[in-house]
Amino acid sequence: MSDIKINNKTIFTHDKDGLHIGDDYPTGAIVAAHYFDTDEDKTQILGKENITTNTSGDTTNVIFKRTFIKQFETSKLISYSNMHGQGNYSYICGVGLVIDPAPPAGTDGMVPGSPTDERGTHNWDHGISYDYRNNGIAYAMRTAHGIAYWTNISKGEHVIGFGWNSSNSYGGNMPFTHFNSDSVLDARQTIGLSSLLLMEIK
Amino acid sequence: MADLQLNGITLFTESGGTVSFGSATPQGMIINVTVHRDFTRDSSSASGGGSTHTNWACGNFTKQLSTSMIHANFHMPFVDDSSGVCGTGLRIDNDTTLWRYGINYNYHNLIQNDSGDWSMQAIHGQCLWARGVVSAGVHAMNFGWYPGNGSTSESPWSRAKNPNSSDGARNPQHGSSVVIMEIA
Repeated sequence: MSDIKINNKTIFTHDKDGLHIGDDYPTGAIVAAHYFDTDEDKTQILGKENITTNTSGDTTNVIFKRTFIKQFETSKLISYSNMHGQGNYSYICGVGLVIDPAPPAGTDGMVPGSPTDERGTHNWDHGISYDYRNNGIAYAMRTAHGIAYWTNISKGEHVIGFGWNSSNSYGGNMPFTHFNSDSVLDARQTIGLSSLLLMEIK
Repeated sequence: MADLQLNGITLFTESGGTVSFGSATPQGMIINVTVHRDFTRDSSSASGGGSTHTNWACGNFTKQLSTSMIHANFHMPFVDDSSGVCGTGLRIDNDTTLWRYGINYNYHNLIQNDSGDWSMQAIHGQCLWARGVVSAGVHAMNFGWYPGNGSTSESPWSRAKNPNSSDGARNPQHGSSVVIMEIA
């Protein structure tokens, strides 16, 4: 193991696993980028499947999850979202990105209503949103996009998720009936991807 | 204070225990990211215009190198259409030559309040200030709009930006973000 240092400040370090960014690398620089999309996980709910709406008592649904490793304790995380779906459904439901969502209660991805770690001091970030018009078109398309940001996530392995977290404990709401897009609802549509870009800022 | 050099070119410099990038940082590297956010619902009048109109004074950023580029990514949700198109943009400082109009929104001319849920949309996009356009040092990032015809009565929304449960009971507090990246 060896380091590259200036005045005893470590910029890079090298070990058996390769070259790594050191603890004293300039603050504000991007030290890692992770790209996640729905194409890499064939078990992900795709457009031809309805999102489960058995939501009695549920307020929160996380339909997309990916694991990543945060390298530094004091670094920040920023994520750009481009999550899309088909089928006009409810109205406003509180879409967001979340770090380390609570486990679902069953197999439908839904989380029981008012879980303490999903509210108040939670890691939900509602810097993303979607354009909403109640025009009732079955094949309407909608994209949840925007910017999420966290300054309080510890070093180590975490999960980032996309979903929604209604503020009034009224279950059964969602931005679209089908996650992603394909030709089932509209023959002209190809299979589209939803994606997140996650970056760690030193 | 010390430098890390390669063939006389400074890659990193250290001063007072803090390491920063040197002037010879490879072009294309993102060397600094500044994030400003606003998660406060604002229903005050959004009207305004003019060459230095500011709706959100996002905050400052420090540009480290004189030769670098500045890239900004922006997102601001709001409810209820207003007058229509108004020339939304980001502006650095109060320099009217530094407006950039790469942020936009879908406009429907449709005011809708269905069962208490207002229509919702967002201003989003990205802007670039090329190498050397912005000097090194502290600058201010501003969001606003500057209608091409000089009108001062245009605005993106008529109800509120950064919506919350006041605009639909299921809505948690949403907010705006600007991510400012310095690219060597």
